[in-house]
Amino acid sequence: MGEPRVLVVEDERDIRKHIIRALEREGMTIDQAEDGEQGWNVFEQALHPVVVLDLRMPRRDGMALLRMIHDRRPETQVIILTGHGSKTDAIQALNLHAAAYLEKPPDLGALLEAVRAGWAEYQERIGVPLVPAGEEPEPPPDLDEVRRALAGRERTPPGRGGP
Amino acid sequence: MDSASEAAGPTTNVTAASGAPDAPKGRRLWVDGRLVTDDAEVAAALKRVRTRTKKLVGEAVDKPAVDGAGKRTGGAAETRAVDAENRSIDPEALAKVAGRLFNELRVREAIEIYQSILRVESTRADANVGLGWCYLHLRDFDRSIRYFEAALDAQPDDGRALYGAGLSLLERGRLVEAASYARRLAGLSGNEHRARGLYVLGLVDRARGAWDEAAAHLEESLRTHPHRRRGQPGWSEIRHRYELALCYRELNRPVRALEHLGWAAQHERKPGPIALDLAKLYLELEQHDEAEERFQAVLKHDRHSRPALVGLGRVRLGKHDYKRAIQSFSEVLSRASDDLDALNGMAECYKRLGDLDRAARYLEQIGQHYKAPSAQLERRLRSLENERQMRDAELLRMRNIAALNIMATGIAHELRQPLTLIRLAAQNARRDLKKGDVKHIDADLEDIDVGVVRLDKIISVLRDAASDEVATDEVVVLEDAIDAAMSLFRAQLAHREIEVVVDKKASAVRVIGSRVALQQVLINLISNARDALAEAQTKNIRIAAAENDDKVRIEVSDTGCGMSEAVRERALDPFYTTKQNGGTGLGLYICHNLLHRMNGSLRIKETSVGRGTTFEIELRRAEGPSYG
Repeated sequence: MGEPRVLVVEDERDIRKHIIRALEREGMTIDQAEDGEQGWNVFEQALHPVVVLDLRMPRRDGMALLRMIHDRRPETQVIILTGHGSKTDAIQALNLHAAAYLEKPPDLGALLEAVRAGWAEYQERIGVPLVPAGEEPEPPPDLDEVRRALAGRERTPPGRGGP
Repeated sequence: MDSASEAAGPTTNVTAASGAPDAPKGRRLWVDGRLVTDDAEVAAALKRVRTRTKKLVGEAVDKPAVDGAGKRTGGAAETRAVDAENRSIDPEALAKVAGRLFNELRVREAIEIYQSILRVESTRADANVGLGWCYLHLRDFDRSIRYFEAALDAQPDDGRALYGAGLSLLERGRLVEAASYARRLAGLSGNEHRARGLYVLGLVDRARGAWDEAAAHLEESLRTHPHRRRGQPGWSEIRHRYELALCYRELNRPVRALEHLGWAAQHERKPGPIALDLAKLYLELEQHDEAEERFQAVLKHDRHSRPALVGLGRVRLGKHDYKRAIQSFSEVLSRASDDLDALNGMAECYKRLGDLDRAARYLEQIGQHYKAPSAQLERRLRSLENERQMRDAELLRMRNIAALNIMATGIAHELRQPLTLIRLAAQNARRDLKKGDVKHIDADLEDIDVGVVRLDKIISVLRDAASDEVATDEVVVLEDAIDAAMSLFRAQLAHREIEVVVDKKASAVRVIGSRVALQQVLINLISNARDALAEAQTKNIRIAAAENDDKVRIEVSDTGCGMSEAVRERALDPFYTTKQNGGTGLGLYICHNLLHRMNGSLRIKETSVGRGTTFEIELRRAEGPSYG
């Protein structure tokens, strides 16, 4: 069933390094970014079924990025990784359709599991062909096409304002 | 000598003093306290004196009588003049003259005359009584007691002698004897004697602390024989009422006390000791306006009256007008730096203002000036010390809460970052090991080590923040303190895109103080800057330092919202905050206190709304070369 391409957005280099290593060990392809701005740029350039996202970051924080990602590609599975762990943050993140909410320091097993579950959910939703491990992924599908495909299944976002 | 012996008449028993009047030869005379040598002048003076003396003693002057032993002390001019010219004066008339002189408070002259007639049988008792009163007036009580006793040996029922003896003994603290004389006096016939006896009894009661009986005796005395009044009430009545008022004050009957004291003060010649006591009574009753009025009245007559100034200070203290109270007290201290009351007042003022350090310093000064502090003072010092400890503990608790409050906002994140690093490194290493992959092990272990060191640093700062051990004479490298403080903020400041610039020169600076306290101050200032920068366009914090002579000035500036003049004025006050989400209002106050303890200071160097604020810390510079 292949492994997903994952974007890791985390401002602290050492932590990012370890997350990437753990995911790569599972055969996933990883892109990385060190702040919200860079994260958005990388996200726009490639198709990432799963994003691991820190909330508190310089230059556009995680919550803003989460909202933008959901607006652009609602099927993306975003896993929040945060050191703050406030209740309001958690609720807000889940309202913005985050796939999982993990507090620092995370258990690697739980993180991997969340990524895998996200990948499965993504596949379920979008029905993209499997990308065999080690191969380059398909180019991103036409966005409008994705939208149309999703139109039938899209949930109504509860209590959320426009962008 | 010669003239004196010549003058010895039939009734005399006088030994002339060695310095015989030298009026006849040389014509040198003391007239009204002035040495007169010129002949014409002497004649004129003598004439003048003679007329005056005639008026005083009337017909007595021409009677054959005694000579006075004219000593040449300035003042007894009349006597000598009379002696020199007439040499024949009735001793009883002289006694009357002396009595007049005494009433005019010319006591020394009166004493001379009394001395001169002491040897005359007929006037000896009078002279003894007169001398007793004179010495009582001069507060030479031992002598006055001797004379009164001599008088009483001759005439046991002499009311004046009994009265005087009672008062003198009272002054010497011989209360039992004073009381026995007073009772004898009260037992004499005549209301005046009785009233005086009761009066002395009252004073004796007062002296032994029996306020109730004292008041009763004094009241009864006043009822028995009202003081004679010729228009202006005499000193005796004023004194009488004054004593009564003091009794009532002790008995805690302020209304009666006020009544008598008010009367006495009203008839005092000018606002003086009684007015002061009245003012003090008002002060005790917390009638501050009345008290102030009286103190001011005294000050009008005596601009530098110490008790009035102290009293005024206490009034202002009572009105919580600490600034003006401090003014009054420091005016006293500028004249007498060891004034106990003023030092006490200063201590009280600063205590109320919450500046316990200064308060303690004034109390220490009291301790220095008064090497053997009285029990009361010691008690006060102890109670202040207790209060100080309590306040310190309270302040410490609040400080800890404040510090934790400041840190809580960012602390979880700061702790979780290194924890995350440690956990991820450890789990990655285990997963690698399961696969037999060891190439990352070393790096992982190092990451764990780094994470632990980071955690340790944060925990140290936290522990320090909650500790109350503030050494004040460590050498602190500023860079270390800045690093420690920043360890709590790195992530949040980065997240908020706040740039912190530490001036190169600042790093090497070393100060004398406490590392922990300086850290705390920096944490507070950085945290304030962080909050001030929330809405700012440019988000910079700059830490700079400059050394000169023995001082170091450290500046912490931000480009944040700044303060208005009104906010600036109150910024260092405790519990003053402008933070919407409930700051404790203690941050800057704590900084101020901590720096004060390190013999340093904190001030707002400049601030303007919308442009930012610069705080300036001043501390002692550490000697020796700076390394860095």
